[in-house]
Amino acid sequence: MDQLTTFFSMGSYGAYVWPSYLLTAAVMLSLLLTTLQRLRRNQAELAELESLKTVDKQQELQEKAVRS
Amino acid sequence: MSVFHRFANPNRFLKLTNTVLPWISGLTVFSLFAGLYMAFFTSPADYQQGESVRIMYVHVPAAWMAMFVYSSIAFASVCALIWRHPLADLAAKASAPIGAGFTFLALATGALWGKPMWGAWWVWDARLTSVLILFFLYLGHMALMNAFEDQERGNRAAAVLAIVGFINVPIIKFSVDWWNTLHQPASVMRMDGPSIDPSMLWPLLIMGVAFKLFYLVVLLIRIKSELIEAKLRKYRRALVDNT
Repeated sequence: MDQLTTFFSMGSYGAYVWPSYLLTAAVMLSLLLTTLQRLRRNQAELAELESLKTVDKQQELQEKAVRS
Repeated sequence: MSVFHRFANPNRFLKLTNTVLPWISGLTVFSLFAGLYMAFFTSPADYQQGESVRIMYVHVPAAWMAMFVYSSIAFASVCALIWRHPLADLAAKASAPIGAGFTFLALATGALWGKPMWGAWWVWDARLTSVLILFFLYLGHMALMNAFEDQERGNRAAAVLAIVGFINVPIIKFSVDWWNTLHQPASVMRMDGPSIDPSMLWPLLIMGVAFKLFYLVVLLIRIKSELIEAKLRKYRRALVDNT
């Protein structure tokens, strides 16, 4: 327990050391997470549009088949 | 140059990215944890600064990244303006928020280190001021890219800003030698080799590598995302034209 307290107090510099590391973790994590979120959203939208396109094509083919 | 041309092809780029991304991500996590372990457990306290020296292991790599990412943007901008590489603009655009984030971290952790060591969160000396200017250059770059209806014009304006602003990078690097400052001079990248003890140099270098790998991971994902967005724009335009 004593060892833990000593570790977290960082020789009385804990109030400066820990915020530095927490801030770094927060900025890097939010960069990564917003980037991943945007990728997922774009991928989902692309998949939707591509499925629309194939539906369109199928309809076209069906219409052609009916006409001929 | 031929290597660049090969990977400037978006499809080849995507294929390569998807194969290397898991490996780089794994390496990033590994080096990050190794660096953190060494920073907290194997490296000693400083004889003058005590335990506060552990701020160095995030502050210095963040500051290296601030300059490295900006240099990458300037290089990509040159490629975009001269050779019109389809990926160069995307790389510059994708890099800017990452660089801005690291520059913010360098400033913020610097303030957190400055308060106990210098007695001040902030001083208007050459090193701190030039890094603050770097932060504003990043913000300006991001704003310019999206300031025009025509993306092409935005890209070009931002590229010119990035290249002109590159003059700030050597000013940052040498500011501690050219002007009087509280900031300590270079102790790793020196002509006569590092002046810092290996027990502190190793965790610092490993954290530096980890941050660089992190940049690469986020950059690749962002470029991938940008490529999909370009495709989406094309589809939407086609949909509008059809109806």
